[in-house]
Amino acid sequence: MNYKEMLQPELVFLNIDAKDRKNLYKQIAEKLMKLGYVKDTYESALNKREDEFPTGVVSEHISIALPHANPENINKPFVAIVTTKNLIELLQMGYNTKEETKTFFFLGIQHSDDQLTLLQKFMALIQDKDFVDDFESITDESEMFQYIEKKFNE
Amino acid sequence: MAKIIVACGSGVASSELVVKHISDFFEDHGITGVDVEATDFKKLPDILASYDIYVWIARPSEQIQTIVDENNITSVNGLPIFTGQNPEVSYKEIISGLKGLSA
Repeated sequence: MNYKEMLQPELVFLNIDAKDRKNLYKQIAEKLMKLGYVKDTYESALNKREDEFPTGVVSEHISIALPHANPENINKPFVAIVTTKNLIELLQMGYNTKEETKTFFFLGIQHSDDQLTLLQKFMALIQDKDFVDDFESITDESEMFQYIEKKFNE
Repeated sequence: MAKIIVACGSGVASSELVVKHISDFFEDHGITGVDVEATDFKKLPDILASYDIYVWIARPSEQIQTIVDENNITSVNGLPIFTGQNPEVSYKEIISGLKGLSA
């Protein structure tokens, strides 16, 4: 699957009201399950993975997290764009130091080069100040979908 | 042949990406004869000892650190390569690790 097909209008969830990370992951897991992207094992796998191997990434311009679970817990590849109303605390990948973020890119990755390209794309985008400024100013979900889609095609 | 292992939590996303970056870097700089592989933390303890350079994206556990120390493996922080922020730092460490092997 081409990584561009992993992004769908139904996969943008902005300004989610969650009290903490586990609550956010629960809400997103429920949405993804209803849409058929993940299995019922996904939520616990996601949390287990985050506890063992945190997925926070901090760039000069923005802090994000890339929550993901092992491939056996997903039905089809996806990327979900999620922002939260309040700052959510988690840990940074590799360094395991504290991080607060409102931006989450949930990755449903199976094994393929195209999907790696997606990850690479996100890493480049979070270092682009113009992207971060635009991203943080968009509040409408369909506008966000169109914006990210446009960025993926650049 | 020199062998590099890249390890993250699941072995699918982050480590694969870092392997791709390192392979591209080697290609761009005409470095050949280096094997670069991705794995996850479950398999790592069993295979790590047979590698020369270990690039970590998830923080090495005590068990992993012991294997690194006992086998004189060069351990390199792969996060700068993953995020693309100052990856030169990691590449330099990898290169000096490779030089150490041929010396």
